[in-house]
Formats: sequence, structure tokens, C-alpha cells
Amino acid sequence: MSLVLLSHVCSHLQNVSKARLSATSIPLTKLHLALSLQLQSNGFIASVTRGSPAGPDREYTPTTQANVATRRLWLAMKYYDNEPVLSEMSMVSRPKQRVWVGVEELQRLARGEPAAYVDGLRPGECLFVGTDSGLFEAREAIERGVGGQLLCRVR
Amino acid sequence: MSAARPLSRLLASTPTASFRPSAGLRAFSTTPLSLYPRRQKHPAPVPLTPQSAAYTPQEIEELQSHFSPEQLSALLAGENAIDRADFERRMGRRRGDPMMLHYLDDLTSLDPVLDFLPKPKPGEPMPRQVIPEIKDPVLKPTDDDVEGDVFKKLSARTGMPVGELRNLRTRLMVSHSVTNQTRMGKIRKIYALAVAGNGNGLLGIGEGKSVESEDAIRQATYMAMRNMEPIPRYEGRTIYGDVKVKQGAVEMKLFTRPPGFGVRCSAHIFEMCRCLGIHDLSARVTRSRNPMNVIKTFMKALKSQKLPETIARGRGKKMIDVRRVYYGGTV
Repeated sequence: MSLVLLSHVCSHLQNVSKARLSATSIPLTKLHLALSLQLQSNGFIASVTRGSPAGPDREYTPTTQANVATRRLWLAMKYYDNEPVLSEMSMVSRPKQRVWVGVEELQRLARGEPAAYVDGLRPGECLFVGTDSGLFEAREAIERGVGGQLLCRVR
Repeated sequence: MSAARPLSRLLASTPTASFRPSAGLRAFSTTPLSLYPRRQKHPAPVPLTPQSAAYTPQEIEELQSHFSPEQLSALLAGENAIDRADFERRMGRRRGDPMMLHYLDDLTSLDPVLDFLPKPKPGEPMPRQVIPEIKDPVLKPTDDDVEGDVFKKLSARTGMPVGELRNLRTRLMVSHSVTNQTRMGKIRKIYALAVAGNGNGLLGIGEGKSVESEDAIRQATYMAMRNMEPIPRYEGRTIYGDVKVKQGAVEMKLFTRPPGFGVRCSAHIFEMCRCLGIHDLSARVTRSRNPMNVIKTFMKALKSQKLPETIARGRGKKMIDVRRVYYGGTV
């Protein structure tokens, strides 16, 4: 779980939104795939497709040792009312200071109160948590009763 | 098939590659290549074959089903008039969307089993929207405008009744002298900035400049009333979420606050909140605190609120105001 690569993805998606691009690609890792699928199910991006630097795959291409370095994840960005749907995306845990929280603290954050030196969630904001049972949005993690590492917040 | 792209061209067109070949290319930067192939300036001419321009009898038959005999003869005459070499050297067309997702189902047509088909309603007329009548107010600008005339003109412009305009809350926020250096010497004028609002969701700012102070203030007030526009307020008392805005050297953060918190802001923002009808707010102005720019930035911040409906529509998610649901809209 490389937080350095994840922070690169955060700033890349912000830049893509500012440039109003329709699609972009990020390196394909298990963490990025899980995060992208969460972003998609929360409505921040339109689609997630595996692909190569040339573009999204037309047919299924297995990831092998030969092509693993060049595999990419293609994300289709969303815009509404002339504004990007995903406008801000920032890290909470950093490589230097990782933040782990329990369910009680997650509940406080979801209510908009600060906890564990992290600002509370604003209306329409999403916080993604890496847990033992997978990567979830903060509210879903509370439903499941699991805490974990706070990865990034998106609005 | 259309007249612009007859059958023979469709048959003669060569399939174009959707993606650039990636084999043998090494990526030295993280910037992805363009999905669309670059247009070549001078594509290599395709060798002509005598049968490529001719129509087979089946093709002529198919064309006859689409066109009348006169149209068909005109089309064939046009085809003959075009030089075949020019046609073969034409630019390659972009085909399809490389980001398109490949669905197993054809979603363009309604399925009689899986989809809800629209019920036919015979005899029902199409819904029609009433076209609003355009009322063109006759505005006659006069040199000596007394107060009453100003309100009448404003009423004609904004569509608000005169009585409502008279009850607006207006405040002079900034007034100072400015000078213009010309070859004749310095020309002094008074600059004024005023805000106006109805205390219930309308706010506007206006600027005026004149040699006379009174005139500048009157201009600014008039412009403020003219520029009033609706500002969204949460529960009619605070803003939707926190707003962070930067304009010029002014950086401003606005925070939504619970009922009874009060307006804990600097004087200029406080006055604007009074005019707008905001009762709970806190603000932090970092960097420049120039009054004129703070007022303009606050207006920009109020207008740049992201509404929950917009977020919900953008994400395709349902958002519920738990507070309103819990208290049954009584708060």
C-alpha cells in the first residue's frame, strides 16, 4: 500500500478535473483499483476500465509478469453544470504520518466533528478508509463496524 | 446512409485503426498518449482499381430504394464529376469513441420484457408551455431624477413593486476620494460602494463615482438595488457547507454554523449578512483585508456555494437533509 503513489493519484485527478479532461489513466495497482471502484460507486467518476498506455482494453487482457509494469487503469471523469463532480481530493494519511481510527472516531468524523486531528466531513464529502476487510467509504465502514487507515478525502 | 456519403464511398472506405500501435513503443513519460490517432497530413494515395468506382446492379437497386430516379441520376452524375484520385487521398475519419463501454445489451431500444414501455395515450395533446409575454418598459432617462422617478425606473427594470424597493436595506460600505492624473492636473472624484438587500435572500453590490459625494452614493445605491440577485441560504439562516474563495489578494473562508451562533464576522461581512438575512455564520479573511475587495469576494463566495441538489445530481446519488427529516421541517 504505497501512499506516495496514492497521493500522486490524488493530485493527478485534481489536475485532470481542472483541465476538464474526459478520461485519464493511473497506474494499475490493487489499491488504486479498489479506490477507483469506490469512487465510481460513490458517483465521482463514470467508469473504470483496465488498459494500456495506448487506451482502455477492447478485449480482456490478462495481467502478466511481462506487461504488469505498463498496465493502466482508465477512469472516465464526470462533469455536471459546467463543474467537475470530483473537484478536491487530498490525502489524510501521509507516508510520514499515517492515521488509524476506530469506529467511534469514524462516527464522529461522519457527524462533521473533528477526531484524531482530522477535520470532520462536510456535506457531500467522502472519506475512504483502508480496513482489514477492504477499502470502504467512511459511512460504509461504520455500517460494517470496522475502523482502519484513513486514506484520502474527496469532495 | 445519406446523400453526403453514398454507398460506394462506404464500400470503398478502408478501415482505420482505433488505437495507435503500442508494440515497440517505450513510454518515457507518465503522460498518456492521445486516444485519437493523429491525422496524417499527406496520406499515401490508394492505388485505383477500375471496379472501385463502379456500382454493381445490387448497389444500384439498393440506392433506388433510398432515392427517387431524379435524385439518383443527379447523384451518379455528381459521382462521375468527382476525380477519383482526390477521393482516395481524403483524410481518414475518426471512428467511434475509444472510451465507449461495450455493453452486452443494446440499450438504444426498449425491451418489451425488461423495460417499462410508454403507455400510448390516444387523443391527448402535447403539453404546451405558455410563452411569457415580453413587456418592454419604456425608459426615458431624464437629467433631474427625483427619488420617486428612480424607484419607478428600478421597478420597471427589476419587476419589483415600488413599495418593496423602498423597504430595501441599503448600506454605504466604502467611500473615498480617487484622483485621475491628466496633463491638465489632478481630477478628484468620490468613489462609493453600497450594498442592498431585502433581508430575505436578495443581495446586491453597486459602485458609483462622481465629483459630488452625494451623487456617487446615490449612483452606488441605485446600482446595488439594480444588481440584487437571489443567494441560496440553508434554512434561511446560514450557508450551505464551508466555502473557500480566493479573489485577487483576498482569501476568505466561510463556515456554516448552528442556529443561535450569530454572525461572528468582520464589520463589512456583518453588514452584508444583515442585508441578506443570514443569522449564523463565521468567516475568516486571511491575507488582504481591503474593504472593497473583501465585499466583492464575499459576494463571490456566497454565489459559489455548492448546493446539495447539485452534488446529488452530479453524482447520481440521493442526498437527504437528516436534520430536516428528523425535525419534520420545523427547525
